[in-house]
Amino acid sequence: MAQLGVYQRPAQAVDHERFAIVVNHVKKSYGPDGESEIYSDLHFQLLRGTFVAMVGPIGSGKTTLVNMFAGLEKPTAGTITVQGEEITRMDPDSLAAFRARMIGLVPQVQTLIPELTVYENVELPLRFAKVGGDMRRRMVEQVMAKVGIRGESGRIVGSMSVGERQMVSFARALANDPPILLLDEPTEALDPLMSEVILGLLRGDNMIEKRTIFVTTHDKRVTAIARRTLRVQRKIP
Amino acid sequence: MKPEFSLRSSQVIARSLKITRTTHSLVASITAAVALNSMVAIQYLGLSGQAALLVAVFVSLGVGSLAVSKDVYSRSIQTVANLRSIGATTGSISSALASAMIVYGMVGAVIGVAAGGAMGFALGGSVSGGASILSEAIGVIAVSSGAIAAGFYIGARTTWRS
Repeated sequence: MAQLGVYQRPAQAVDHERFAIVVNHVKKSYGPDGESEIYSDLHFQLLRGTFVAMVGPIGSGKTTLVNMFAGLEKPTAGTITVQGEEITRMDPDSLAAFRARMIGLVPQVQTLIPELTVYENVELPLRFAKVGGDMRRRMVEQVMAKVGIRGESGRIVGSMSVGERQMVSFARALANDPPILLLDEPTEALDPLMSEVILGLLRGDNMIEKRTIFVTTHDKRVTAIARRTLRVQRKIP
Repeated sequence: MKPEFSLRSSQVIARSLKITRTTHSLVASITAAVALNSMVAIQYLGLSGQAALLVAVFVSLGVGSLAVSKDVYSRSIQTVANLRSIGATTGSISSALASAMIVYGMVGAVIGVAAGGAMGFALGGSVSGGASILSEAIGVIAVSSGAIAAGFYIGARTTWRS
């Protein structure tokens, strides 16, 4: 298990410099009395630079885990440390600033702003991270060229297909060159050709940039390129 | 209020929150109307009356802007969440919104002051208390646009915190 990037060490033995994400005895439940329990005692660590895929049935808590890694949801108990910083203790504004620097997120439900152009959408995280004008322009052009959407920069996102939007979402997640990339079912709504493009980008990005990638998926082509696959066995009742 | 964004960034955020040209026109029109009436009234008031008028202008525009920013939030709650998921803080969104609005508030105030000043003179009013028409005009413009910015900023900060 160790050489593939996922560990299950006791909390006191974890060296945070080596790990991108440390999940420490996390419990997550929903409902006023916590009757719908998703995770009872989740405990593992992801090595920096690894590429891990998570598979499991619908409703098994995959999206919840991605949201907790991104700080969009808090665990009911336990702690999550990302790039050495315990995000479970941060207030919403500190978390938002942390996300702008550290996390690229491609959520299952697209969160692009339909009123803005492709360029403006990709540029947004850099504006929030207060990256200066020239540097920002360079970074946006670089990532758009990388993802292959440079020619689309002036298009309004609201007029694009689902697949095209997913490419923009991917570019936006990479725009600030975050050390961690979280993707929730990135190939779910894509045709085979678009999926291959995304998979190629993910594979190359992990190998060349040494970025930590955590992806939830049902797609066997994604698990085939991941260095480790985590399986969630049960479905929440 | 410490500006966190350039005007361009403010406009991008404002468009994300569906603050359209209609909203901008509305802000400019309201500020113009308030500034016009203030400029006419100010030429017939003493110093204490002028001060009271400016306070009233500030409070009414501030409260109005606060209500509008809360309405923007309720219409754009998902967009705010989306912006936060890519790193937007409450301060960054509220500053952007306030600075986008202040531009249109100021444009409206300038138009209103010019029209109100001219109308006041036409009606036979005079500049009171020895103050120049220029300082009266600057006062009304500053109060109107400042109230708009403060209202949006406070409204966004209080409503959009979580």
